Amino acid sequence: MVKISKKSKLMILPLAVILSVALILPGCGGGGAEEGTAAPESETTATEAPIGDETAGAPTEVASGSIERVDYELPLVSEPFTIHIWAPTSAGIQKTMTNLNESYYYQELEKRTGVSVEFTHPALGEELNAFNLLINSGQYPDIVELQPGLTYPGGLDKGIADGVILRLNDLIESSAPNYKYFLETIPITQKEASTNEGNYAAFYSISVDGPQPPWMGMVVRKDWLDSLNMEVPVTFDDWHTMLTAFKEEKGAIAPMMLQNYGYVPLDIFHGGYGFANSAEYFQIDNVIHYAPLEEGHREYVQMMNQWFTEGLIDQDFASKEDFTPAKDYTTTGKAGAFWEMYHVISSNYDMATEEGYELIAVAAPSKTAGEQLHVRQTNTTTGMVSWALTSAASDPEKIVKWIDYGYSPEGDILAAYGVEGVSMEIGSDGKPAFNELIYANPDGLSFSEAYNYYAKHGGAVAYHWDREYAGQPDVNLNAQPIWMSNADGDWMLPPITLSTEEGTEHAQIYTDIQTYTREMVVKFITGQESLENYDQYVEQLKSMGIERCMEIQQAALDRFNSK
Amino acid sequence: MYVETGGELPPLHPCRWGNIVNITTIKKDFKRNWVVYLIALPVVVFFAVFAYAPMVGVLMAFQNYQIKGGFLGSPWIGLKNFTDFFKSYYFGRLIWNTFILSFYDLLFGFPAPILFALLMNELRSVRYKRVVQTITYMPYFISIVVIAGIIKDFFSSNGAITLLLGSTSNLIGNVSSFRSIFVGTNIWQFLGFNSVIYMAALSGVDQELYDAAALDGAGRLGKALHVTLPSIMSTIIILLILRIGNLLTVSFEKILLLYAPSTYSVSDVITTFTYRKGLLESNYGYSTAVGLFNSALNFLMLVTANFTSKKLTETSLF
Repeated sequence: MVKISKKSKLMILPLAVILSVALILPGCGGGGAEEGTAAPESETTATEAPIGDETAGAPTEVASGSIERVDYELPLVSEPFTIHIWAPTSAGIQKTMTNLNESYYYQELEKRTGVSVEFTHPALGEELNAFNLLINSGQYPDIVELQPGLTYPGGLDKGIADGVILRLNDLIESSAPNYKYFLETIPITQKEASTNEGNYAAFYSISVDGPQPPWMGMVVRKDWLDSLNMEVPVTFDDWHTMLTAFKEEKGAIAPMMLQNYGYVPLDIFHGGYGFANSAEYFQIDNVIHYAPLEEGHREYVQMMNQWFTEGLIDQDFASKEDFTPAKDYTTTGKAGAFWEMYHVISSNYDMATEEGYELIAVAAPSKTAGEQLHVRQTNTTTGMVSWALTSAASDPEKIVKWIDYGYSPEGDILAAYGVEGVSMEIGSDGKPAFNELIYANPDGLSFSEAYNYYAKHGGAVAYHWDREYAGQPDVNLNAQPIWMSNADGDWMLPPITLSTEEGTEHAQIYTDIQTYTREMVVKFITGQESLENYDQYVEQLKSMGIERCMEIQQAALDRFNSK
Repeated sequence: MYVETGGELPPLHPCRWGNIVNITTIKKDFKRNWVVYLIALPVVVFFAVFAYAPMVGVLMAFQNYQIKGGFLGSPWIGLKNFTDFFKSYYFGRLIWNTFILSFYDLLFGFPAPILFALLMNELRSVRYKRVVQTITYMPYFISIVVIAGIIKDFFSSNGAITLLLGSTSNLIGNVSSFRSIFVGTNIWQFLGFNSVIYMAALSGVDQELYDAAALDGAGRLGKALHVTLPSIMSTIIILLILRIGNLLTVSFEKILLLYAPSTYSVSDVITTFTYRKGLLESNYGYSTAVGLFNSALNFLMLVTANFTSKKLTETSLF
């Protein structure tokens, strides 16, 4: 029996109230209504700029008629101004900072422009979840960073129609002369950076020197080839001979690596069989094709099944999701052939456990020697990353100016290379290049760790891909020409977009098809499903509606071409 | 909690609420026992905010949910989300996978801790018993992500367990061994922890019953079968009913971490499907409909199990 006195009764009252409030508060923080929406803006000075400020951010030269890039008078703002950005990061920044605004670049940018930036980063690997939750929360930052696959559900046009994403056409016209310059001088960018309805919904990274050559391709163990007296493999048969030797002579348990869907990612390896699937579909002369329906795909699967059975393929590939193969395979003699990004090929050397470890980039194999392939890893002129303004943007015009500064002659160099004398020197040819601080960092930072700290990480920029060449060893520099040597990207799909209705219909049909295909291809390769059933597999795809999906894609492609 | 009031009326116990017909009685009771009501408040708030308020979200199942409109602005589409799911290519497989994985888990995973508790009960050495208990419930406290990593590693083509089994192929990526690994590792994970409640029940068994059984000539097995087991039968049944109520909720995180396209045909379950549809494809309405359907089936099973048990053993939850 518990007896509660008058006194303790009085003490229970506040306790109960506190407990109840404590329970409710965290619940409302996430779903919050009016109060919550104000939070991201609370620290920005959303007040109108004074009249005298009008000139502060104005272009110093006014492009009259002719298109030219212009420099800004700095600082861009006369009063402190903060921009909130939601952006995914990469493992490349973890060593140097927890938040991008700590980087040397953003600190310098703040000094120059007077604009400070506050980033929110999703956890690595959780980007899509976090992005969808952000969109649903209704509490937007000023800018969201978009990437392929990480975009407004239903497309950017829908984002604009829903009032979440800001339409930028007028703002670009009035306040972004440098971005406009690139849109107008590099014709393809206009197609790639606008939506179906002709909206500019985001600022895209623009490869101002043309599209980047392939940054990922196949590499093999050169020291193994040398000791086996073998030439660099050219055809699929050569590969078979090589992998067999790797297995038998070199004791590799996974002579060739593969990703969990049964392919090397980004169409790096299977181009010789005449299909591409990194964008699900590919096109020949503007006609949409779907890889599993192609005869070449059947042959590929057949070959992979044979290689798998013979132990030439990593036996655990089906459970490996890594974008590049795990280093405990590539550097230990477990694997002899795999794919790698060109600027990190040499990084395998440092971790290698074997004496004399050496790699060499090899071109994608073909059926017969000397064939020209049309499939490889390609890049668009507008890069992978873009920045969209949300409806919550406190002062769109200022933000657009600030972004456009990154495309101006001065801001462009700062973003790509950092500060002269710190991370960059102007060479004798008048071109900027990274110095030793970046490619031979005294603090032990890797190349990308260093430039992601001293220059801009991701986001919307005028992109100079050749900046990555500074201080690279030959094995890395030689890779891109080799990967391009026998393959153009003519069959790859340009960045087409579906309308909302098309998108919904396509998703409804294609999701099941995608699951089915991923499942079946792996089963064919591992032998859990007999190859005799390939025809039935194709029939099943048709009955699930793949042809309707291709029609939808075809319409989108036609629309893109006539843009 | 019983509160001494000093008044003439005895305090009202919650079990007697059924007898109340008069609103003034409630008022009187509130006046007298307001402290008890106050103490209950946090709990009521907790359930209201975290269990009942989110239920409004099931409305999405009947909408073509749009981010812009939210609950109030999205168009109503009746049962379309449900019929889409029933007509889906994978409907049958999802239901079957969910059911069969849970069923195996129940069949092998449910008796294991009971058996384990009975065995532990027979142990004489207290120290040995403690050591074994600690070791067996250790896995329960390891994060599921780590568990999945361990499982993937041990069952890979050159993993420790794969080699022990004399195999050279990747077992976790194999359709024929996925279920066994899933259920087997579940037992390993939860054996120790789930047996705690049975051990608690066992410690409450009257020692005199054992002495009496010994007089009647019962051996160790006899005692276990005729004294121990019947004594904890009601605990077993309650736990079984609860478990059946969760039959279609297989541990979602574990499957998500372990499955791969190669094993979709046995490992893709309703919850993982909901995850892909809802969070990855932003198809919120559809995903909610599937989740609601799953919960409805679970509820139906719980009620059926409870009813059956009530009829057969007179033990039930409600």
